[in-house]
Amino acid sequence: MIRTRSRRVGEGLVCVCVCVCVPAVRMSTTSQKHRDFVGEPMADKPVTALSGIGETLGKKLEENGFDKAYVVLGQFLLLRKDTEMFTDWLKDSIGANSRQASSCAQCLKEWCDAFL
Amino acid sequence: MSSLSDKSAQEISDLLDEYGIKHGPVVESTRNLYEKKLKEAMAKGKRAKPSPDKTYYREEEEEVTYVYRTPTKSEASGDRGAYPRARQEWNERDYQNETSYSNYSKPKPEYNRSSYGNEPDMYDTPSTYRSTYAKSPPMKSGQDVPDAPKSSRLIPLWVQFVFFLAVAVFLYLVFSTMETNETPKGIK
Repeated sequence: MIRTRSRRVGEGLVCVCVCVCVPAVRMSTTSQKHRDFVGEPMADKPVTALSGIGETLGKKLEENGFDKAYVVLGQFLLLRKDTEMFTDWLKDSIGANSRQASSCAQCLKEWCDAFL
Repeated sequence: MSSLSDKSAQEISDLLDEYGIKHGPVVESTRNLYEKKLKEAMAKGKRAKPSPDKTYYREEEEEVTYVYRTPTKSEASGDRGAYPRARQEWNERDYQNETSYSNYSKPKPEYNRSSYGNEPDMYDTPSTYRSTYAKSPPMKSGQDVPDAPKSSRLIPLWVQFVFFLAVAVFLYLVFSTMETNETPKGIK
């Protein structure tokens, strides 16, 4: 079987596609916000610095008295660093959806693993 | 059942332990969440209950009394002379049989003691057996089901599969439309 140029091109294309698609689909990608938060001590960062917490949710948290990221951390710690419980709490108290709540919980968990 | 908001923090904590819910301190900010969890757990039906002190089996006791009574039976049948006595013993045996067969009848004080600690209203042994057996499969299936769907993914699983299939179809098309140059002239 003669390996022609067109066939080689096809194989190359397959390899490229596989190498690009498989990691993108299989790996759970973390956002830049997540990486920024987990990479350093949170100090006095506002709640909007938390992954999954945007402006709307941030305002709701502040209304409930959680004005800084470390206060939300406090709540996370009170719930014994249980991501499921914390997710439920976020959904109940500020009406976050599953994605936002689990993103925030994961962010805090990784921060705790690194710094606590 | 009094409302959960009237209970003290310690009581809420104890209830959470009873239902097997892992929890932290019951403080102002966590109380609402724990009350909600308790309501959900109660609505599902009481899976966890305070453990009973003692469980006695009625059958065991009845068997013991039956064995004990058999000598009197042979004794009574042999003794024809004492009519009132035989009559009395026959009555006793009859009563014994009655209580051993009818589990649902009003119990004597000694049987009352032997009834189950946690469910005093159920005297029928086979039915309690069935009820405890029936509890365990739903428990297990209940535990399995919440675990499976709660996998937190950024991109939902079905989206990943669809994307993968699309890529596979695309690659197949690429392969199928490729022409193998078998002519000796080739590409020049």
